[in-house]
Amino acid sequence: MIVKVKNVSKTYKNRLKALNNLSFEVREGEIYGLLGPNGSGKTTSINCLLSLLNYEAGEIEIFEEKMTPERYDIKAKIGFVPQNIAVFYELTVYENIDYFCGLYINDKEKRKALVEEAIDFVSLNDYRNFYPKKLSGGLIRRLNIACGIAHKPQLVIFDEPTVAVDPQSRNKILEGIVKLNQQGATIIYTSHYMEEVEQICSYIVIMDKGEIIMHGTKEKLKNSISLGESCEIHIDNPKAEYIDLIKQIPNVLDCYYKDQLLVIKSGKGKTNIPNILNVFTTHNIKYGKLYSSIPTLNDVFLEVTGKHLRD
Amino acid sequence: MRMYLVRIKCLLRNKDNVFWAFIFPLLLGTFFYLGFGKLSMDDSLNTINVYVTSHDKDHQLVTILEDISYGDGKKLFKVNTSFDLDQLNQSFADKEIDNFIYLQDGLINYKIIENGIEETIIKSVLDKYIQGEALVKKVMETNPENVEKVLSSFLNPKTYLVEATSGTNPNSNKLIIYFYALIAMACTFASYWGIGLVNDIQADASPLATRVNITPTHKLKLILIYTLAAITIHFTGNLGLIAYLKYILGIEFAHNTWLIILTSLIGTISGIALGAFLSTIIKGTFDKKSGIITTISLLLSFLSGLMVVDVKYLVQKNAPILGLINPTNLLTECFYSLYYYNDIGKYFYNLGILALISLILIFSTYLKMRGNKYDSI
Ligand SMILES: Nc1ncnc2c1ncn2[C@@H]1O[C@H](COP(=O)(O)OP(=O)(O)OP(=O)(O)O)[C@@H](O)[C@H]1O
Ligand SMILES: [Mg+2]
Repeated sequence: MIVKVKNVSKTYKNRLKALNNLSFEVREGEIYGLLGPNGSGKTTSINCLLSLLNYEAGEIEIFEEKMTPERYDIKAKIGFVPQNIAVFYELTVYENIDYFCGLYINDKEKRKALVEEAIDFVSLNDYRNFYPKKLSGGLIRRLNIACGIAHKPQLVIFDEPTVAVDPQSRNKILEGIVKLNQQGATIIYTSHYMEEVEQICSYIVIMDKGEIIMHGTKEKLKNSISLGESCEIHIDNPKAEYIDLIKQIPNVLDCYYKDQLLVIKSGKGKTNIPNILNVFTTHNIKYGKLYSSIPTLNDVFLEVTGKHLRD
Repeated sequence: MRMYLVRIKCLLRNKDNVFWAFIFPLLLGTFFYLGFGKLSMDDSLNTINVYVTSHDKDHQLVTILEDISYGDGKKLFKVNTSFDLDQLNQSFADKEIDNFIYLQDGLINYKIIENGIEETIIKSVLDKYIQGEALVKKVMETNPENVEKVLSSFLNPKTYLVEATSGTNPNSNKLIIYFYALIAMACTFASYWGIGLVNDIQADASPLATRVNITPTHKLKLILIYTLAAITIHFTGNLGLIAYLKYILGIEFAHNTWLIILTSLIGTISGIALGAFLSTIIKGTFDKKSGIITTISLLLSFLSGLMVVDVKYLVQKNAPILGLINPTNLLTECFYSLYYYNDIGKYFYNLGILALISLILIFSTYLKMRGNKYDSI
């Protein structure tokens, strides 16, 4: 077990209970996703994990050993990409990466190679002599990442590395994380973007209000809910009676009209599309494009908490 | 070593830092110099007008007064002998002149309004002359060839200046001490670096510090390296200030410049240590910390008499302990030891306490930060 969090509770000074009896375990080689809406306690858990924050109850072990602020040996094997940009504004891209890498690696030659690799890794080659002020939001995020991973740690923790990043940078970052994992690093990845977590994580924990509400592989999570399929159909102002008709189709869980779209949720099992279209043709209802999708993590979250991941 | 160099690079690339460390003290020095520097520097002293009654214009005193010069040909006094006793009395009463000298029964008398350095100088010259007159007479009778020597021994203007500015009355000699005060203040400003240092190391102070905290670098090592870098830069700034005062503005420190440099080094360390220690106690943003610490620094300066000299003596009398634990006060004590009392023992005593306090503060800073988890980040 790389990380073991057991019954951790954390209450901030303002009496806000940010973590409530939180427990989870990260196995070697995983990309472990912590998914939760804003304020659900992801950053708080990471900061407790790293012994930056006090917590009133619980135990945390990393690499099978108790983590404290003075376990410099454990810290040496961890890489951390914080949610807030943490780079020296007085140093260039290269100097920043070199400085942080140097806090782990003393050997000059070795460090040089590692820094080059990290620059390649986040594709900042053209910007190596830029000061952070001159970098766009996406580029500075990539620098923030490079500073945390250049020393090739066994465990890398990413706290929402893709917030406020353009799609191109985001894909680069996600690809990079997968590559790190393939090179042998265990990853903890927090995000409130379910698409990302779904895309790269091998194990997912869904958090809300400081508690874990579900965990498992994404297939397991999706199978655990009753929803099997959502259909969305372009249609002009359907009569209420049609919606009622559709609701009567077996296995349809819900049907509502929103933003020019008729949304139909069906339970697990065979697809319901032929039955739906059958209703349309028998009543001579005109319809436009039809989309069908299997459940997303948002659907999982919605079904468990009654609210959306993002609002 | 690498961390030290990078740290220096970081600090130097920050324009604020450069301004506070290097430009600001020079500006202050220049400002001081323009403000009251002119009065206090012996080579920028004006020739002083003295008035002697016309009746006594051939007296030996007049010749001697006219003879005293700063050494570069510039005269210390301009002797004015065109008025008689009644006129001078009248002018003196009308406050048109603030001194005059007259003889009565062969004895030298003078009236002086005592309100400044020039008057103090006249007074001490005359006192010396009166004391020495008998001696001179005797020397002239016994071995006249030595008269020159005797005369020059007590008519050297330097002696008067030092006396005039270093008497026991604190009011008459605030002048050159202002430049010592300036150096003391420059040291106190070093507390600014202490804030920056803590801000970059203490996990809950900034994202950068958070990141540094999860690296395997030992806290004590971080603190020492960052402190060393801050000392290097601030102390270099102080050296610049001292050189600027000494060589560009031509201010003559009465004592060994090396001791002044040593004092400013220890002073810098104490400033940084104080700033760092306070920063670990005060919770809040950089700006809040820097506001509070600036206020505290000013208060310490005030208590050391850097603004109103008398405050220092009041503290000394009523709460001597306060003076002993106030780094700024210790710093001024060091300078005073050098300057007023000319007491090297006292100087090193104060400097020693200051160094000790600095060490305690730095170590406390480490203890405050060591193995700490924070309530909130
Ligand atoms: N320093 C703090 N003091 C008081 N409350 C805090 C502090 N930091 C976070 N909180 C509160 O604790 C809860 C959890 O916050 P946390 O930052 O861990 O959430 P998060 O999941 O990381 O959210 P986000 O997606 O916005 O980063 C939130 O309600 C937040 O308001
Ligand atoms: Mg967060």
